[in-house]
Amino acid sequence: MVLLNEQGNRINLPLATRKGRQIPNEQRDELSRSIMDAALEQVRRQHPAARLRSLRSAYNCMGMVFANRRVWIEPDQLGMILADDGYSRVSDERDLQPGDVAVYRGSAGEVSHVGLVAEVKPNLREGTWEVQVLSQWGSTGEYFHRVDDLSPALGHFSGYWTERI
Amino acid sequence: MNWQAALTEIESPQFAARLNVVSSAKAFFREVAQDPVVLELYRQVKDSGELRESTLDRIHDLAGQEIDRRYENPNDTPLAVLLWLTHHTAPEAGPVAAHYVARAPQCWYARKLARWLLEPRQVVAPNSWDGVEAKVRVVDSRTSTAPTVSAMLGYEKVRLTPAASVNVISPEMARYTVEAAS
Repeated sequence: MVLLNEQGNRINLPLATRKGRQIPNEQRDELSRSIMDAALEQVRRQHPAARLRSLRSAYNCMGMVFANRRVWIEPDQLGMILADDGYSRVSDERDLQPGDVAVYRGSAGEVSHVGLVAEVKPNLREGTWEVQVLSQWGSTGEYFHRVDDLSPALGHFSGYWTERI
Repeated sequence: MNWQAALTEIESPQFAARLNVVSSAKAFFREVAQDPVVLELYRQVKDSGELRESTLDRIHDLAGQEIDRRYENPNDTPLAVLLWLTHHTAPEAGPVAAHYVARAPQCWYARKLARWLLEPRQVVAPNSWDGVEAKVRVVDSRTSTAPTVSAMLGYEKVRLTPAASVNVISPEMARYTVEAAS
C-alpha cells in the first residue's frame, strides 16, 4: 500500500545533507513477484558472477547508499550530497575501504548509478586490485558485483568517493 | 513483429524487468526511446490512425485493471511505454491518454510521464517570440483536496508578447497552455 498525503502525492521522508539541505525523495511500491523473478533470471544469465543480496524495489541505488534502503532519490542529487557531506575523490584503488562510494555515469556524463565498495583485494597475478561493489540495480534487486560488471543501462564506472577523513 | 506481438512483449514481466534496471525517470525513458520493440511499435503506430486509436484503447484498458494493492501496478511499464508512444505519435491525444494513466493506481514511471504531460511548466517567453502566433491549449485548472483537475476548454491562437508568461506542455511541439482565470 502506498502512503499519500492530502494532495494525493506520495509521502517523502525528511532527509537532508549534513549542511541541512533537503534531499528530495519518494517512496516506491514493491514490484510484483513475477517481475522480480524475471529480473533475477536476466541478471543470472547476463552477469553470472553477480551475487544476489536482496530482491526489493522500494528504493534505488541512491536510496540504498544514502537513505538506508528506504526511498528513491534521483541520481542528479549526488553532487549536492557529496559536496555537503564532505566527500572527496579516491584516486588510487589501494586507498579504498569497504563503505566508500562507487559512482557511474551515462553517455552524456550524467550520474547514472552509485554503489558501495564491499571488498578490495589485490590480484597478484595481474598486479591490479579487484573491487567488489554492492549496489541496487534500479528497482530490480541488490547485487554484489565486480565494479565493471553490471547492466550497461546503468552507465560506466566513473570514480570512487569517500567521506573518511 | 506485428503490433499485437509487440504489445504482448512490452506487457511481459521480462520487458518490465529489463527496463526497470535503471535508477531514474530520465534513464528509463531514454531506454524506452532506444528499445527495439518500442521503436517497432513507433514505426507501426506513426503510420496508422487505427493503431493510434488501438493504443489509446489499450491504455484505457490497462489503466482500469484491478491490481494487487500490496505491489506496484504491474502495468506501470506498458502504460509508460504506450503513453510515451502516444505523446510522440499523436500529441493531440497525449493529455487524454495521460488522464487515463493518472487514474491508474500505484504507478511509478507512467505516473511521472502523465504528470509531466498534464502539469504544464511555466516559462517566460523569450523576446524572439514577439509577435509569433502560437497554438494555445486553454485549460481550466482547479485544485481541491484531490489532485488538480484540469478540463480542456479548447484551442485558440494567441499572439505572444515579449516576456509573456506561458505554460509549456511540450517544447518540441510548440504547443502551449494558458490557465483560465479563476
